[in-house]
Amino acid sequence: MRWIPFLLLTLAGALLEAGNLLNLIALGDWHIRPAPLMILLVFVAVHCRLREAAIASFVLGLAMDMAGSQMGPHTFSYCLVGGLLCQLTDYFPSRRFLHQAAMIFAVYLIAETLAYWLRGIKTGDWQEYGMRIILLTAVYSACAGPLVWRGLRRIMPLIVAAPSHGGRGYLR
Amino acid sequence: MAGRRFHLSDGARFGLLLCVGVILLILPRDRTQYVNFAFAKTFGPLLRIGRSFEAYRAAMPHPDEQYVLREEHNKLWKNYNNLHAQLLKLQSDFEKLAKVRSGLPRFFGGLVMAEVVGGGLTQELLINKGQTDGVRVGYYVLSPDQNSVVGVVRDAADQMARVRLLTDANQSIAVRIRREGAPLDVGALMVGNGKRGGVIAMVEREKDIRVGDAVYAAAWTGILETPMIIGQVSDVQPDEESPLLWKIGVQPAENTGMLKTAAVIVPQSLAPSRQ
Repeated sequence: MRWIPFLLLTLAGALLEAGNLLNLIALGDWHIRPAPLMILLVFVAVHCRLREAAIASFVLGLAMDMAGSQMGPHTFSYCLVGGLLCQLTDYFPSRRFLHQAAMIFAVYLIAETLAYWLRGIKTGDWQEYGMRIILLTAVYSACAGPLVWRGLRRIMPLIVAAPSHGGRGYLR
Repeated sequence: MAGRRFHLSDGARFGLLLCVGVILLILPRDRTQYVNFAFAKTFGPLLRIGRSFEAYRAAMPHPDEQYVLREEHNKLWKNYNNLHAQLLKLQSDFEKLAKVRSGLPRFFGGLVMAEVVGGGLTQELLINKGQTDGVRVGYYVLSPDQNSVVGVVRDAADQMARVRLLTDANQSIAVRIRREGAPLDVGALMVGNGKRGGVIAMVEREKDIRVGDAVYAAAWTGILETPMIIGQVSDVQPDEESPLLWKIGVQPAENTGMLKTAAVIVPQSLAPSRQ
């Protein structure tokens, strides 16, 4: 993993998450927007070894928390989900757009639901429509994800030094 | 040698990172919120990019747009309702104290003008004033014209504060529902609906609530001497779960998506002298 380009990409993702630029493509009354950090997380988890994927997931979760209002929920959930995804990625194909979209949808749903519950337990704030927003964001991210994925594939040599192909983790 | 001594397996490293995540999770919010504020402060100019494109957000509707500009109408409507609230307060004081006060009642103790530096998807705003300016958690935040309440301070750091809008589903505020020319004055609690408005529940159906009635933030001793307009009733329906109660929809008077500045009401004693 080339960490400096990765950190710059993470910073850009965090700024998109926290800023207003993505409101240009937000949909509906809830302003549903795609989740760039989650797409990056899935991409990294699929293409990196466990050691790098775990650290990258942790950094992405930390960036997500910094862009939000709570420290901890995303750091934990992204790290957990990213690490597990890296171990299981051989079981899930990711070459076709549909497969990438399905993977982003599922991973976003799991990671954000976990973060939502952790945040609720920590603060006592339970957003009334929180789960609906998570579901709709997962759908939007799954739709936009393959396009971003294609762009990430082009710059992959800048981020991933040696793409991993099998032989990783404990679950295979 | 040191690298070998402290070499961690992949699994151990993964577990360690998870433990760090748990520690961050356990840490009190007061300790960690400075990280969030520092991020917002550092990248404030970048986070603001695109904010002017939010013009499509909620705006107070009115059918007679061809006679007066909506913006002008909204401003006059809010000012009128605030004056009306002041009038009622004056009448109440007169009846109770049997004398007319020498001047208008104070709206608030002091004001701190702040610039909105962030917001984004959530129903929150980041403002560039914090505890050093007297801003504290729970204080009311007004629109730039200082004529309607738009939110409540949720977190306050030294130089920044996070404002939760009244439309946030987690935000509740004590309100009064009033109607011009009628003795209607109903106290209730408004909760944001997570989208563009708020919902008032637990109001008995004997109360004559109608669409168009004005909704005010209830007075708060020391902070808000008289009620201040929030919006108007946009929908009145029987509560499905409790048919004896109304479920009232509220349309905010202010388009919060367009806010570039805001004013925080602080007690006079805490307001900085430059204000």
